[in-house]
Amino acid sequence: MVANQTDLLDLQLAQIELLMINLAGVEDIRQTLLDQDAANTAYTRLATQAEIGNILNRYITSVPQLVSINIFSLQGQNYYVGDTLNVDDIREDIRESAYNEALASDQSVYWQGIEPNINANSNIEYVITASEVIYNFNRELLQQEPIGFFLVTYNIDDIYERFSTVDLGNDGYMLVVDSKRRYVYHPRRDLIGTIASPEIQSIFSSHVDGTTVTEISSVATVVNYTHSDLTGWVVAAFTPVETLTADVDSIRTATLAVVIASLMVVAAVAWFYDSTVVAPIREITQRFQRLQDEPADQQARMVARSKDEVGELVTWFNSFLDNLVMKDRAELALIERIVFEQLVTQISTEFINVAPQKIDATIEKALDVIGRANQLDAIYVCLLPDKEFTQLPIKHHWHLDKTESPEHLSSVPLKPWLEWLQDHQAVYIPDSHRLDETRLAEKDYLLSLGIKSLVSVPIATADVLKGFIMFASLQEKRVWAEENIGLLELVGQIVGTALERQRVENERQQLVDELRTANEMAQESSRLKSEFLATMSHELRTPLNAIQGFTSILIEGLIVEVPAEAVNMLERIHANSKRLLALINDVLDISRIEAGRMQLSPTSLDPRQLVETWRKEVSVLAEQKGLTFEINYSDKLPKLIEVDPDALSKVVLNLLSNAFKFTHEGQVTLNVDRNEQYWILQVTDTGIGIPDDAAEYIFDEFRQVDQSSTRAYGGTGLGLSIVYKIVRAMGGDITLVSAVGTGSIFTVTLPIKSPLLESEIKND
Amino acid sequence: MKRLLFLVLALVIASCTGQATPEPAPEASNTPAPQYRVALVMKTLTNPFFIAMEEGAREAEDEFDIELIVRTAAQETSIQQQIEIIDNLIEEAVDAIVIAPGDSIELVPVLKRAQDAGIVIINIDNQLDPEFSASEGLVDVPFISVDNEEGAYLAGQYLANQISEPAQAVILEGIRTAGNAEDRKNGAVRAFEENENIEVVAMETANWQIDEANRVAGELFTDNPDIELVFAANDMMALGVLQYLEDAERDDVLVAGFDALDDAKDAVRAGTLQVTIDQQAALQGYTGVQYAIRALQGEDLPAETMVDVLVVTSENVDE
Repeated sequence: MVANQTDLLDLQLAQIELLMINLAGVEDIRQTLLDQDAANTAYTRLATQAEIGNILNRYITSVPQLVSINIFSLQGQNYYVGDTLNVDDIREDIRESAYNEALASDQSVYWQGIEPNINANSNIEYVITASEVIYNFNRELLQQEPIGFFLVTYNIDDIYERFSTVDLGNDGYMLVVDSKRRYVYHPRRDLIGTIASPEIQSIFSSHVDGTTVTEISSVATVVNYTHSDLTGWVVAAFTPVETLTADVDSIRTATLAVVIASLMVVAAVAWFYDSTVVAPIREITQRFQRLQDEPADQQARMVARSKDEVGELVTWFNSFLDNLVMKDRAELALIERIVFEQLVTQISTEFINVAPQKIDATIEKALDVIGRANQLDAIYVCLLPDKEFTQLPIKHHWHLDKTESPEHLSSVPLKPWLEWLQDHQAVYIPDSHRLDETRLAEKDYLLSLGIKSLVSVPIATADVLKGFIMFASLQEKRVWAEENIGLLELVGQIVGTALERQRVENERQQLVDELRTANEMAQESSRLKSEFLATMSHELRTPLNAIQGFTSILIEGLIVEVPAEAVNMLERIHANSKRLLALINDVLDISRIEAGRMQLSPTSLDPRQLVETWRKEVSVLAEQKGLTFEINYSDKLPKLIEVDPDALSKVVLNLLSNAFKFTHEGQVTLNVDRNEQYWILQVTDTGIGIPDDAAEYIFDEFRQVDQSSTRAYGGTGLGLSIVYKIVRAMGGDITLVSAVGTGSIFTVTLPIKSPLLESEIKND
Repeated sequence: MKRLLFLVLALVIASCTGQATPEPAPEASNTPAPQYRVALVMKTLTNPFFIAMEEGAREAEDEFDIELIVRTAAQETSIQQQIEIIDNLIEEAVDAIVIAPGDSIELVPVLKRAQDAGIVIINIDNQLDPEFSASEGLVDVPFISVDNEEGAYLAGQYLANQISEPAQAVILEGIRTAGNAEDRKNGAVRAFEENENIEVVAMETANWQIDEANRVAGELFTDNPDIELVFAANDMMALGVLQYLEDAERDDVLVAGFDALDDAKDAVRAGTLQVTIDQQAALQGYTGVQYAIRALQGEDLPAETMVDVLVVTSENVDE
């Protein structure tokens, strides 16, 4: 009874330990504690408070009896959530002693015990207090150093409720005393938090659990007490000797009544007749006393030597023991299941937001928690390989004694499992020794692994079995309740979902990496090609210059008289070499741009002057073809703009010469205008136009409307591509509107960079 | 054998005689249970404004000897959490709920359920939408707050009075479905419109939050580098803006906040914040709890109670 209550209390408090350990793993909190030296402005303080507050708020709602979670930095900053918003009034003595005690303790979470509430503003006066120091590894000094600590406070209401309803008969009561000998539980609520009386303290001075009979306020009382492994606290049951046997509980009372009656009769008879009858009765009496120290299930049943009243008494006693054992077991099983359920809930919340790269660590942590909570020896997470297999690789494992795990399990003896697991059934083997003849291979294999009993649950995604988790007991046989197996299956589902997420994330990451590599390679080869072209073009131009120069000299007849027929041929050589040079120049330009070597050198200049230079160059073309040429420019143009005149001229002249080339009658117009941010250059012609399908790739290299037009109109097909690339390099854009037979409009928009821009806009 | 007899006799005697009482016998608690259990539900645990509100409510708790339960959602935007808190309070069967609702519409149905369960509802800070409340049957909910429109107008006017040349202004709003956010925006707009030199170039929400305001300020100033006036509908957002201005090394911008948080008052002293509005949060919290008790005692209460706003500027911040 006392041992059960201690376990229950420990399990309840272990929840808080788990919560604190989880909190210590939250990277944002750790970072905040590390960043304390950063500028402490109102903004950083309030924004950090908000951020940490949001994190803590999620945790505090997960354990209903928590009063507050406090995080203290060593610099004195306090991050807090709890039952009041205002924490101006922190009890400094509690904060200091909690920190020092936790620092001195060798446990990660230190249980201070029942303390005055660290938050003096709270209405809750005494709270169970635990603290944990957060360390950081200092890489320079190569040692751990504290950066802050957590302090968690817990309401005693439900502990009080539970201990006050433990039935110990009329005058029995329980006490819980912390390691500083203060009452964590006392039936008189006003004594909780106070130091135990010397009388009580002296009882617990020994560190051994046990039972003692002592006088308390002159009443002989049986005290049964145990120490908690987790907290070092003492849980004790006090029962006055007089009421002990009368009022233990309803079963005992009933049985005792019978026993007493029988004892009186038997004793009277024994007194006079037969000492062989006395012996078993004495044993029963002693055994009743032993019941206080030793659980019923560890006590041997008595043997009935006769069929008379004594025999009956022995049978009674045995069935009394059986009843007691069953009751204890049922209680324990219920507690275990509730705790296990809470654990699984907690695990599943942890998985909800876990980052993909942390999934493995989270799984291992979950295995550890489950393994310890269920007193298991080993857990294996096996994943089925994609192809045919005889081995099942173990992806994660957990061993109580940290021994090495095998790298895989053999799939041959476990073959029948896969079918069951595929049907969403768990495999439950309570005792490997008892597997029947049809499962001999499986039996031998499990025994060779030292597994006495196990539960394996499926890991499946979208109804496809991906693997299983085996929960194994090596030391002793383990009986699992159906509900608990259900909970293990839930764990399988949680892990399965997490692994699936991880797999999808890995695939995505791999794809991204491949794409990036492919893209980098493509860019590199394009750059190499362009560099090669640039060098080649240069080498080609030099000899062509020589050809042109010498043919010019020959045509002009400066050195020798050349016959008229030969002049004609020389002129064709000259014209063709000029075309070749133009082509090479274009290729050179385009490769320069592509190789990233085009340098723009913007200078401040008057846009009107620039436009006039274009008029001069182009009006010759207009005259040659007998076309009208018009230039309109807006008076809104800035007085000065910053632009690279050579680059821009190349763009505009290219567009204009195209316009003249493809226009046979009508006119070519250049409009220069601006809006707030851009200036707009528009070349409009009344030429042959460009069909829609060709307009799509008109700015690509080596494209004209069709191959025949290259022959009809000449040109390299590089002009518009160069135009496009220069415009983009200048931060602008070019668009085309065209209709076959009507004409085309090319519109170039360029960002205005004008030193006078701002003031001009305001004056407009 | 003698021992056995003694034991038997002892057992028989024990079952007949009265019980001995040990020293630490259980005893009824001698502090009487507080008369009423009143819950104060607020919007967030991360805005010091609500700490002041709690302080006022705690004062009322001591004065009237009631039990006060304080619950807050994590963030201003955690409306669902507020709804869950109310659901829990219905289960706990508290006597009254004093609520500063994060949303003027969404909380109405759950508060109606609470009222149907016999719980007194008092509305503070941000007003529940009166029309929607009426259509849901949530009636007789006294409302205690400040005149948010007027407060924002006064803050905006303080900024506007310093402007005599054309200037651009922006307004950082609270959560747009909250009535007080709408009121404050309208107040600021009214003040800015009265000065023809001021052009409001943008109105954005930062959901009352400091970090969001910091981010939004970055976007607004990138789009409109000439902004000279900022009205933030609460101090947390104003502090987020001030941090942005400091990081961007801008000291030519006038900023107004709302709530008079301690940090905001520090900023007023430092001259980085021009004005903030003290809406006496503690008084609102106190009055809310007091009204709850008066309603529980059967008193009829006014439908609307307005707490005065105080304009806090460098001239009076230390008063």
